[in-house]
Amino acid sequence: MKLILVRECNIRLFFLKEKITLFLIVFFLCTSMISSASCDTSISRDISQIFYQQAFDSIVSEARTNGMFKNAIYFCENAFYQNKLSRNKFEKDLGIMRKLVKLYSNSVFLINEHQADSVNNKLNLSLFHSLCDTVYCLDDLNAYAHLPFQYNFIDPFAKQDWSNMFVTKLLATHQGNCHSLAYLYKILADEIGAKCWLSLAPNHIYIRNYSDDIGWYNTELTSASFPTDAWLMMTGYISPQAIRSGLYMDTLSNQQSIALCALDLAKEYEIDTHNYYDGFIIKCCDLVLLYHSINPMALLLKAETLKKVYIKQAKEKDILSQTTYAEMIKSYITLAKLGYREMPEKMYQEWITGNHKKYENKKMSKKH
Amino acid sequence: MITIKVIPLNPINSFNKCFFSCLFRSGGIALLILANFPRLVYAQSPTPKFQTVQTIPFKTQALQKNSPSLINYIPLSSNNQIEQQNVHLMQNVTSTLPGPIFNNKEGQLNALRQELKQNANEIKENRYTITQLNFKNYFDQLLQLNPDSFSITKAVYLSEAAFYEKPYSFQEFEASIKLGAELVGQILKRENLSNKNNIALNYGIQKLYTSKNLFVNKQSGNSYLIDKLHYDFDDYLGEKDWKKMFVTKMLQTGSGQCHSMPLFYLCLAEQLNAKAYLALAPNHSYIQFFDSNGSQYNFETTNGHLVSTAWLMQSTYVNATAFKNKTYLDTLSSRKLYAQCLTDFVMNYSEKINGYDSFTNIMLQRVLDIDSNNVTALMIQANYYRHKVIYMAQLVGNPPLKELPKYPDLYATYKRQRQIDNYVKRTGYQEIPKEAYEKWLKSLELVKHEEQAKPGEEKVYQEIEKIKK
Repeated sequence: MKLILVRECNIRLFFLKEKITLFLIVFFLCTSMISSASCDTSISRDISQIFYQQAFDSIVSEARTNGMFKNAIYFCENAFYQNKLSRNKFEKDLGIMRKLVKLYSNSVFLINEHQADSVNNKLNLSLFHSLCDTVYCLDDLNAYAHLPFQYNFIDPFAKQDWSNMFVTKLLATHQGNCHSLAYLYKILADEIGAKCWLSLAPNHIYIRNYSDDIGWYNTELTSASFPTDAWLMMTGYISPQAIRSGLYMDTLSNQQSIALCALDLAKEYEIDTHNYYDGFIIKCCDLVLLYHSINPMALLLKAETLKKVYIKQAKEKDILSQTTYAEMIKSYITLAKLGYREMPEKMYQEWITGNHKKYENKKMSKKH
Repeated sequence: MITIKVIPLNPINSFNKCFFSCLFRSGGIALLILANFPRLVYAQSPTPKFQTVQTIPFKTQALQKNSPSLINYIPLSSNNQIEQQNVHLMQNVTSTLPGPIFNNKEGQLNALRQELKQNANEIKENRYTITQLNFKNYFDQLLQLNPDSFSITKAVYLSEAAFYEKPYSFQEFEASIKLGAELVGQILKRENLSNKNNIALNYGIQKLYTSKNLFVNKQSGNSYLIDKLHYDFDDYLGEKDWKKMFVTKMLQTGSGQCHSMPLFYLCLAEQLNAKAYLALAPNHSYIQFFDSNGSQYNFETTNGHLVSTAWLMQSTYVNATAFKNKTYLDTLSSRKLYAQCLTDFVMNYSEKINGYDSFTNIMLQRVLDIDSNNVTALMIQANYYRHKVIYMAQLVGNPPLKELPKYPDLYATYKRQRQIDNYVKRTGYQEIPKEAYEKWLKSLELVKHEEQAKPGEEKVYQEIEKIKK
C-alpha cells in the first residue's frame, strides 16, 4: 500500500515507503476522572498532596539530570488528575504527531537544502505546519486529514478549568493556549531532534529558533506566524530594560524549561488546595529560581504567596512575620529592578489574537 | 534693528557670502543650501558587508587591473621593393646593435612588456607604501589619545584626514565646528535658555537639524539665514565616493548621512560641553541623550525626530539577542566610541587600498583589545581572514575542505576564520533582509513618524518650558 501526503496549499505528491494509520479523533479523559474523587474531602486533600509531592520530586530529579521535558510535563499534569492520567495514551498521541511531522518533513523541500543546518530548518518548518495547518494523508482507500491545533477562545486563561492549560487536553481537543501549544512544540521538537527554545514574554510563552542564514526568528503558534522581536517588544509592552536584564525574550535552556514545569505544578496546587501556608508553592518557586534565577513568573508567584503568608502571620502575631516580610520585599524589588510590568487582560487579548501579518519576519514567511 | 539677509537659492550666487566655504579649499556652501528634500529616516553608515565580499587581495588585483596591454607590432606591407629592402636592412642592423640579443621580434616585445609591467608594479607598490606610511602616521596619532577621555573632534579629524591626499589642517576643521557651536549659542540666547543645562544644549544642537536658523556675524554685523542640515540622498552608501560619509564633506556642503550627521552632533556637543552619546544600529547610527531624571531620548539625526527604542528596533531590524548583548542600540561609553572611531579609520584604510593587508589586521587587533565586542571590527576581521583563506587556497591549488589539514598554515587560517565568524554570530548580528529594507524605505510616511515621535518631543518641549520659567 502506498501512502501519499498532500500539502494543503502547494500540492506536491510524494510516495512514501512507510505505512501508517492515523487516529484522527481522539476521545479523552478529564471530566470522568476528576469526578471520581468524592469521598471525604480531607482525606482526598491529603492524598492529592502526596501526588503533588511525588510529582515535585520527579521534576527535581528530571531537572538535576537535565532529562526530558516531556516527562516533566507528564508528572505535572498527572498530579492534577491524581495519578490517573494514562502514560500510554500520552505517548501514543505524541507518537502519532511525531510520525505526522516526519512524513511531512519528507515532503518538504527548502530553497537552499545544502547548508549545515538544513535538516534542522526542515524539521522545524514541518513541525510548524503539522501543528498549524490541515495536513492530508492518503492511503489506497481513504483520505485522512489532520486538523490544526487552534487557540482556545472560550477559556484562554484557564479560569473555568485549569486543565485548559494542559498539553494532554490540547492533544485531545485540538484547542489550547500559548502555554500548551508552545510546550507541545518543544516536546515534539525534542522527539524528532529539532532545535528550539522556549522564550518568555509578559503572560506569554513562544518559541525561538535559530537558523544560520536567517539568524534568530520567533515562532508564534497561537496566530501561526513568525513575528519579529520588535513587534513583540512594542505590542507586548516589554521595556528595553526587561530585555537587557534577560527577564523576557531570552531563550530558556532545557533544564530551565523542565524547572518551569514546577511553576505549573505550584499553580495547580494553588488552584486545587488554596493552601499557601505549607510552603509547597514557595518550594516550587525556589526550584524554578535555582535554575533560572530571573524567572519573572516564579518571582511574582513567590512574592504573592509570601504576601499572603505574611498577612496571616501578622494577624497571628507570629515571630517569623518580619523575616517573611523581608523576603517578600526582596522578591518584589528584584522584579521591579529587572523591569517587570503588569499588562491588562484586554490589551493582552488584542495582542495575542490580533492580525500581525504586517509585522511578520519577511525572510521566514517567504521560505514557504 | 537687525536686518536679515536671506541667502538666495542659487548656490553659485551665495558662494561668496558663505562663511564656511572660506575654510575649505574645495569650497562648497556649508550649511547654507536651501533645498526641500523629503525627510528620510533610515540611512546607511559605513559598515562592511559581511560575508559578501568577493574582491581579491590588494596586490593581485592591482596586477590584473593595471597590466599594460601591448598590441603586436605588424609593419604595413608595401609594394615598393626599395622599402622592403630598407626594412630588411634595418632589421639586420638592429639585430647587431649592442644590448641583449634576441632571436626574434617576439622576444624583444616580451622583454619590453615585462619591463613595462615591472614599472607599473613599482609605481603601484610605491603608491601603496606611501599610503600605508601615511595611514600609519595618523594611526599612531590616534593611538596617542586616551580612550577614556578623548576629543571626538580630534579623533574624527584624524580618521578622515588620513584619507585625503592633501588634508586640511586641524585648526580649519575645529574652527568650522566652533562656528557651528557659536550658532547654537546664538539660538539658545534668542530662546532665553541657559547654555549650562544639558537638555537645553541638546535642544539647541537639534535646532540645526530641524529648522532654518539665523546667524549673526559679530565682526561684520551681517546676518545669514542658515538652512537646516539635511540628508544627502546622492550616494549615501559612499559607493562612488567614500568621502560622502565624512564630517568634512558635511561641513563643506551642509548635507550628510547617518554616519557624518551624528558625529557632527557629538563634535558640537563637545564644544558646548553638552552630554550626548552615540548609539549604533545595523548600518546606522544615532544620538542618545538623557534628561535630569535619567530618562533616555533617541535623536534620529537624519530626519530630526526623537524616536522610541522599539521603533528603532523595528526599523533597523535588531533582534532581542543583539539588543540584550548590547551589540546595538546601546549607549556607547567613551571607550567604545574610541574603538568605533578606530574602526572607521580601518575602514577608510581598506577603502583606500581597495582590499585588506596585514596592517589592517594589526589595527583591528588594537581595536578589539580596547573593545572586544565591537561588531564592526569583528566583521572586518572575519572578512580579512576569509580573503586570506581564499588567497592561500589559490596558491596551493584550491584543495577541497577535507584535505585542508594537509596544509597547516592554510588550515590554521581557516580555523581562525571560523572562530571569528562564531564571535560575530554570538553578538546577535543579523543581516537585514533586503526585501524588508526596501519595502520599509518605500513605505516611509512622514505623518506616521511624526506620530511616533510625538510623545518624546512633547516631553522635551515640556522640559524646555520648565527651564524657561
